[in-house]
Amino acid sequence: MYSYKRILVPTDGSDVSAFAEQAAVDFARAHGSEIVTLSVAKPYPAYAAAEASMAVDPGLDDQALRDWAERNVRRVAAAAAAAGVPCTTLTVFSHSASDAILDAVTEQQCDLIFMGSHGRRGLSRLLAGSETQNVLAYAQVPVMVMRPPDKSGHRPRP
Amino acid sequence: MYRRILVPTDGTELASRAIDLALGLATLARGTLIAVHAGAPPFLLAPEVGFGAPLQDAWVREREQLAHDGLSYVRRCAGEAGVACQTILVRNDAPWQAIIDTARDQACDLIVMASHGRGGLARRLIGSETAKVLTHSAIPVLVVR
Repeated sequence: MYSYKRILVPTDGSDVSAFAEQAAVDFARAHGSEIVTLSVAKPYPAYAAAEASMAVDPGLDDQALRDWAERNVRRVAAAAAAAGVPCTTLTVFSHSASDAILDAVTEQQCDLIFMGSHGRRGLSRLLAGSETQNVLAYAQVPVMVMRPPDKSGHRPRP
Repeated sequence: MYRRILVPTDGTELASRAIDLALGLATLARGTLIAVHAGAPPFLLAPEVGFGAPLQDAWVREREQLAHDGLSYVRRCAGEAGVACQTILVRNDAPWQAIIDTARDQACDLIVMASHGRGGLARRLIGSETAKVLTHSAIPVLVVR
Protein backbone atom coordinates (compact mmCIF):
# COMPACT_ATOMS: atom_id res chain seq x y z
CA MET A 1 0.00 0.00 0.00
CA TYR A 2 1.23 3.51 -0.79
CA SER A 3 2.50 5.14 2.39
CA TYR A 4 2.50 8.82 3.21
CA LYS A 5 5.65 9.29 5.27
CA ARG A 6 6.61 12.84 4.33
CA ILE A 7 4.11 15.37 3.10
CA LEU A 8 5.31 18.53 1.39
CA VAL A 9 3.21 21.57 2.25
CA PRO A 10 4.14 24.65 0.23
CA THR A 11 2.90 27.86 1.79
CA ASP A 12 2.65 31.47 0.65
CA GLY A 13 0.95 32.73 3.78
CA SER A 14 -2.39 33.23 2.02
CA ASP A 15 -5.80 32.12 3.29
CA VAL A 16 -5.97 29.53 0.53
CA SER A 17 -2.75 27.97 1.66
CA ALA A 18 -3.83 28.20 5.32
CA PHE A 19 -6.76 25.96 4.43
CA ALA A 20 -4.49 23.43 2.73
CA GLU A 21 -2.01 23.63 5.64
CA GLN A 22 -4.64 22.69 8.20
CA ALA A 23 -5.94 19.85 6.02
CA ALA A 24 -2.38 18.59 5.61
CA VAL A 25 -1.78 18.63 9.36
CA ASP A 26 -5.02 16.69 9.95
CA PHE A 27 -4.06 14.20 7.25
CA ALA A 28 -0.53 13.80 8.68
CA ARG A 29 -1.88 13.16 12.15
CA ALA A 30 -4.32 10.53 10.85
CA HIS A 31 -1.67 8.77 8.78
CA GLY A 32 1.33 9.17 11.09
CA SER A 33 3.23 11.28 8.55
CA GLU A 34 5.80 14.03 8.90
CA ILE A 35 5.37 17.45 7.34
CA VAL A 36 7.96 19.31 5.33
CA THR A 37 6.82 22.86 4.76
CA LEU A 38 8.34 25.17 2.19
CA SER A 39 7.97 28.85 1.48
CA VAL A 40 9.45 30.28 -1.69
CA ALA A 41 10.65 33.87 -1.63
CA LYS A 42 10.56 35.33 -5.12
CA PRO A 43 13.14 38.04 -5.65
CA TYR A 44 11.58 41.15 -7.16
CA PRO A 45 12.39 41.52 -10.83
CA ALA A 46 12.98 45.24 -10.27
CA TYR A 47 16.20 44.55 -8.42
CA ALA A 48 18.54 45.01 -11.32
CA ALA A 49 17.21 48.46 -12.02
CA ALA A 50 17.10 49.39 -8.37
CA GLU A 51 20.68 48.32 -7.85
CA ALA A 52 21.86 50.26 -10.83
CA SER A 53 20.30 53.44 -9.54
CA MET A 54 21.52 52.77 -6.01
CA ALA A 55 18.10 53.95 -4.95
CA VAL A 56 17.50 51.24 -2.41
CA ASP A 57 19.56 48.73 -0.58
CA PRO A 58 18.58 45.43 -2.18
CA GLY A 59 19.92 43.55 0.81
CA LEU A 60 17.24 45.13 2.93
CA ASP A 61 14.45 43.82 0.71
CA ASP A 62 16.12 40.44 0.63
CA GLN A 63 15.89 40.34 4.37
CA ALA A 64 12.21 41.36 4.28
CA LEU A 65 11.44 38.53 1.84
CA ARG A 66 13.34 36.07 3.96
CA ASP A 67 11.39 37.15 7.03
CA TRP A 68 8.13 36.81 5.13
CA ALA A 69 8.99 33.25 4.08
CA GLU A 70 10.07 32.45 7.63
CA ARG A 71 6.75 33.70 8.98
CA ASN A 72 4.86 31.49 6.51
CA VAL A 73 6.65 28.30 7.46
CA ARG A 74 6.45 29.13 11.16
CA ARG A 75 2.66 29.25 10.86
CA VAL A 76 2.66 25.69 9.49
CA ALA A 77 5.16 24.54 12.11
CA ALA A 78 2.89 25.95 14.84
CA ALA A 79 -0.16 24.13 13.46
CA ALA A 80 1.86 20.91 13.20
CA ALA A 81 3.21 21.28 16.73
CA ALA A 82 -0.31 21.81 18.05
CA ALA A 83 -1.31 18.50 16.47
CA GLY A 84 1.85 16.69 17.58
CA VAL A 85 3.03 16.21 13.99
CA PRO A 86 6.80 16.38 13.29
CA CYS A 87 7.60 19.26 10.96
CA THR A 88 10.63 20.44 9.00
CA THR A 89 10.67 24.01 7.70
CA LEU A 90 12.40 25.21 4.54
CA THR A 91 12.68 28.59 2.89
CA VAL A 92 14.31 29.16 -0.46
CA PHE A 93 14.89 32.00 -2.90
CA SER A 94 13.64 31.12 -6.35
CA HIS A 95 12.06 32.80 -9.33
CA SER A 96 9.80 29.81 -9.83
CA ALA A 97 7.78 28.51 -6.92
CA SER A 98 6.82 25.36 -8.81
CA ASP A 99 10.46 24.49 -9.58
CA ALA A 100 11.37 25.00 -5.93
CA ILE A 101 8.46 22.78 -4.88
CA LEU A 102 9.43 20.02 -7.33
CA ASP A 103 13.08 20.19 -6.20
CA ALA A 104 12.00 19.94 -2.57
CA VAL A 105 9.94 16.82 -3.31
CA THR A 106 13.08 15.07 -4.58
CA GLU A 107 15.53 16.42 -2.01
CA GLN A 108 13.26 15.82 0.95
CA GLN A 109 11.94 12.51 -0.39
CA CYS A 110 8.32 13.50 0.01
CA ASP A 111 5.58 11.16 -1.16
CA LEU A 112 2.64 13.57 -1.25
CA ILE A 113 2.11 17.29 -1.88
CA PHE A 114 -0.75 19.17 -0.26
CA MET A 115 -1.50 22.50 -1.85
CA GLY A 116 -4.18 25.10 -2.42
CA SER A 117 -5.97 25.29 -5.75
CA HIS A 118 -4.48 28.73 -6.30
CA GLY A 119 -1.96 30.94 -4.58
CA ARG A 120 -1.75 34.51 -3.55
CA ARG A 121 -2.15 35.70 -7.11
CA GLY A 122 -5.23 33.58 -7.71
CA LEU A 123 -7.95 35.83 -8.96
CA SER A 124 -10.52 33.56 -10.41
CA ARG A 125 -11.97 30.54 -8.72
CA LEU A 126 -12.42 29.18 -12.22
CA LEU A 127 -8.77 28.46 -12.83
CA ALA A 128 -6.26 26.47 -10.90
CA GLY A 129 -3.28 28.69 -10.11
CA SER A 130 -0.38 28.56 -12.54
CA GLU A 131 2.09 27.29 -9.95
CA THR A 132 -0.37 24.57 -8.96
CA GLN A 133 -0.76 23.61 -12.62
CA ASN A 134 3.00 23.36 -13.09
CA VAL A 135 3.33 21.18 -10.01
CA LEU A 136 0.47 18.97 -11.23
CA ALA A 137 2.10 18.62 -14.62
CA TYR A 138 5.53 17.58 -13.41
CA ALA A 139 5.19 16.08 -9.93
CA GLN A 140 6.12 12.42 -9.72
CA VAL A 141 4.12 12.02 -6.50
CA PRO A 142 0.37 12.44 -5.92
CA VAL A 143 -0.87 15.99 -5.34
CA MET A 144 -3.79 16.82 -3.07
CA VAL A 145 -5.45 19.98 -4.37
CA MET A 146 -7.57 21.83 -1.81
CA ARG A 147 -10.08 24.55 -2.62
CA PRO A 148 -11.00 26.60 0.42
CA PRO A 149 -14.60 27.64 1.11
CA ASP A 150 -15.59 31.01 -0.35
CA LYS A 151 -14.95 34.11 1.72
CA SER A 152 -18.63 34.19 2.62
CA GLY A 153 -18.14 30.79 4.21
CA HIS A 154 -20.34 29.35 1.50
CA ARG A 155 -19.03 26.24 -0.21
CA PRO A 156 -19.63 26.33 -3.94
CA ARG A 157 -21.80 23.53 -5.28
CA PRO A 158 -19.42 20.72 -6.02
CA MET B 1 -9.66 10.98 7.28
CA TYR B 2 -11.64 10.74 4.11
CA ARG B 3 -14.49 8.26 4.42
CA ARG B 4 -16.38 8.51 1.15
CA ILE B 5 -13.87 8.44 -1.63
CA LEU B 6 -14.91 8.87 -5.24
CA VAL B 7 -12.73 7.29 -7.89
CA PRO B 8 -13.65 7.84 -11.53
CA THR B 9 -12.62 5.11 -13.93
CA ASP B 10 -12.53 5.44 -17.69
CA GLY B 11 -12.28 1.68 -18.09
CA THR B 12 -8.59 1.78 -19.04
CA GLU B 13 -5.56 0.95 -16.96
CA LEU B 14 -4.76 4.66 -16.73
CA ALA B 15 -7.08 4.72 -13.72
CA SER B 16 -5.40 1.85 -11.90
CA ARG B 17 -2.92 3.87 -9.86
CA ALA B 18 -5.69 6.19 -8.68
CA ILE B 19 -7.75 3.14 -7.74
CA ASP B 20 -4.81 1.77 -5.71
CA LEU B 21 -4.37 5.02 -3.79
CA ALA B 22 -8.10 5.41 -3.22
CA LEU B 23 -8.28 1.86 -1.86
CA GLY B 24 -5.35 2.54 0.46
CA LEU B 25 -6.99 5.65 1.88
CA ALA B 26 -10.36 3.92 2.22
CA THR B 27 -8.74 0.98 4.02
CA LEU B 28 -7.03 3.24 6.58
CA ALA B 29 -10.22 5.21 7.21
CA ARG B 30 -12.52 2.16 7.05
CA GLY B 31 -14.33 4.20 4.45
CA THR B 32 -16.32 3.48 1.34
CA LEU B 33 -15.06 3.57 -2.20
CA ILE B 34 -17.45 4.93 -4.79
CA ALA B 35 -16.42 4.13 -8.34
CA VAL B 36 -18.04 6.05 -11.15
CA HIS B 37 -17.86 5.61 -14.89
CA ALA B 38 -19.21 8.37 -17.06
CA GLY B 39 -20.51 6.62 -20.13
CA ALA B 40 -21.43 8.57 -23.21
CA PRO B 41 -25.16 8.81 -23.99
CA PRO B 42 -26.30 5.78 -25.98
CA PHE B 43 -26.27 7.41 -29.38
CA LEU B 44 -23.50 8.07 -31.81
CA LEU B 45 -25.48 9.36 -34.74
CA ALA B 46 -28.99 10.67 -34.66
CA PRO B 47 -31.14 7.53 -34.19
CA GLU B 48 -33.27 8.43 -37.19
CA VAL B 49 -30.24 8.06 -39.45
CA GLY B 50 -30.92 4.43 -40.25
CA PHE B 51 -27.79 3.70 -42.23
CA GLY B 52 -25.62 4.22 -39.13
CA ALA B 53 -27.29 1.38 -37.25
CA PRO B 54 -24.68 -1.40 -37.57
CA LEU B 55 -21.87 0.96 -36.65
CA GLN B 56 -23.98 2.37 -33.84
CA ASP B 57 -24.63 -1.06 -32.32
CA ALA B 58 -20.98 -2.02 -32.35
CA TRP B 59 -20.01 1.28 -30.79
CA VAL B 60 -22.59 1.05 -28.03
CA ARG B 61 -21.54 -2.52 -27.23
CA GLU B 62 -17.91 -1.53 -27.02
CA ARG B 63 -18.68 1.36 -24.70
CA GLU B 64 -20.87 -0.81 -22.48
CA GLN B 65 -18.07 -3.34 -22.24
CA LEU B 66 -15.53 -0.66 -21.31
CA ALA B 67 -17.78 0.70 -18.57
CA HIS B 68 -18.55 -2.75 -17.25
CA ASP B 69 -14.89 -3.80 -17.22
CA GLY B 70 -13.77 -0.62 -15.47
CA LEU B 71 -16.37 -0.81 -12.72
CA SER B 72 -16.04 -4.52 -12.11
CA TYR B 73 -12.26 -4.13 -11.83
CA VAL B 74 -12.75 -1.63 -8.99
CA ARG B 75 -15.34 -3.87 -7.33
CA ARG B 76 -12.95 -6.81 -7.48
CA CYS B 77 -10.00 -4.82 -6.06
CA ALA B 78 -12.19 -3.48 -3.24
CA GLY B 79 -13.45 -6.97 -2.49
CA GLU B 80 -9.89 -8.26 -2.21
CA ALA B 81 -8.95 -5.38 0.10
CA GLY B 82 -12.10 -5.78 2.17
CA VAL B 83 -13.27 -2.23 1.43
CA ALA B 84 -16.93 -1.34 1.05
CA CYS B 85 -17.54 -0.35 -2.55
CA GLN B 86 -20.32 1.08 -4.65
CA THR B 87 -20.20 1.33 -8.41
CA ILE B 88 -22.17 3.83 -10.43
CA LEU B 89 -22.63 4.17 -14.17
CA VAL B 90 -23.68 7.62 -15.28
CA ARG B 91 -24.63 8.74 -18.75
CA ASN B 92 -23.20 12.11 -19.48
CA ASP B 93 -21.51 13.72 -22.42
CA ALA B 94 -19.16 15.55 -20.10
CA PRO B 95 -17.33 13.13 -17.80
CA TRP B 96 -16.13 15.94 -15.51
CA GLN B 97 -19.74 17.01 -14.91
CA ALA B 98 -20.73 13.44 -14.11
CA ILE B 99 -17.85 13.18 -11.63
CA ILE B 100 -18.72 16.44 -9.88
CA ASP B 101 -22.44 15.57 -9.76
CA THR B 102 -21.81 12.10 -8.40
CA ALA B 103 -19.43 13.46 -5.75
CA ARG B 104 -22.20 15.79 -4.60
CA ASP B 105 -25.05 13.25 -4.76
CA GLN B 106 -23.03 10.63 -2.92
CA ALA B 107 -21.76 13.12 -0.32
CA CYS B 108 -18.15 12.22 -1.08
CA ASP B 109 -15.34 14.01 0.76
CA LEU B 110 -12.49 13.24 -1.65
CA ILE B 111 -11.97 12.57 -5.34
CA VAL B 112 -8.93 10.52 -6.38
CA MET B 113 -8.24 10.65 -10.09
CA ALA B 114 -5.55 10.17 -12.69
CA SER B 115 -3.91 13.24 -14.18
CA HIS B 116 -4.59 11.85 -17.66
CA GLY B 117 -7.32 9.64 -19.02
CA ARG B 118 -8.22 8.00 -22.26
CA GLY B 119 -8.54 11.36 -23.98
CA GLY B 120 -5.16 11.12 -25.62
CA LEU B 121 -2.78 13.99 -26.21
CA ALA B 122 -0.35 12.51 -23.72
CA ARG B 123 1.94 15.48 -24.11
CA ARG B 124 -0.67 17.78 -22.65
CA LEU B 125 0.37 18.78 -19.15
CA ILE B 126 -2.82 17.64 -17.52
CA GLY B 127 -5.87 15.87 -18.87
CA SER B 128 -8.80 18.07 -19.81
CA GLU B 129 -11.36 16.26 -17.65
CA THR B 130 -9.02 16.36 -14.66
CA ALA B 131 -8.46 20.08 -15.17
CA LYS B 132 -12.21 20.70 -15.24
CA VAL B 133 -12.81 18.61 -12.13
CA LEU B 134 -10.09 20.61 -10.34
CA THR B 135 -11.75 23.80 -11.43
CA HIS B 136 -15.24 22.91 -10.29
CA SER B 137 -14.79 20.60 -7.32
CA ALA B 138 -15.58 21.93 -3.85
CA ILE B 139 -13.97 18.90 -2.23
CA PRO B 140 -10.27 17.99 -2.31
CA VAL B 141 -8.95 16.23 -5.40
CA LEU B 142 -5.98 13.89 -5.17
CA VAL B 143 -4.33 13.91 -8.59
CA VAL B 144 -2.26 10.85 -9.40
CA ARG B 145 0.16 10.58 -12.31
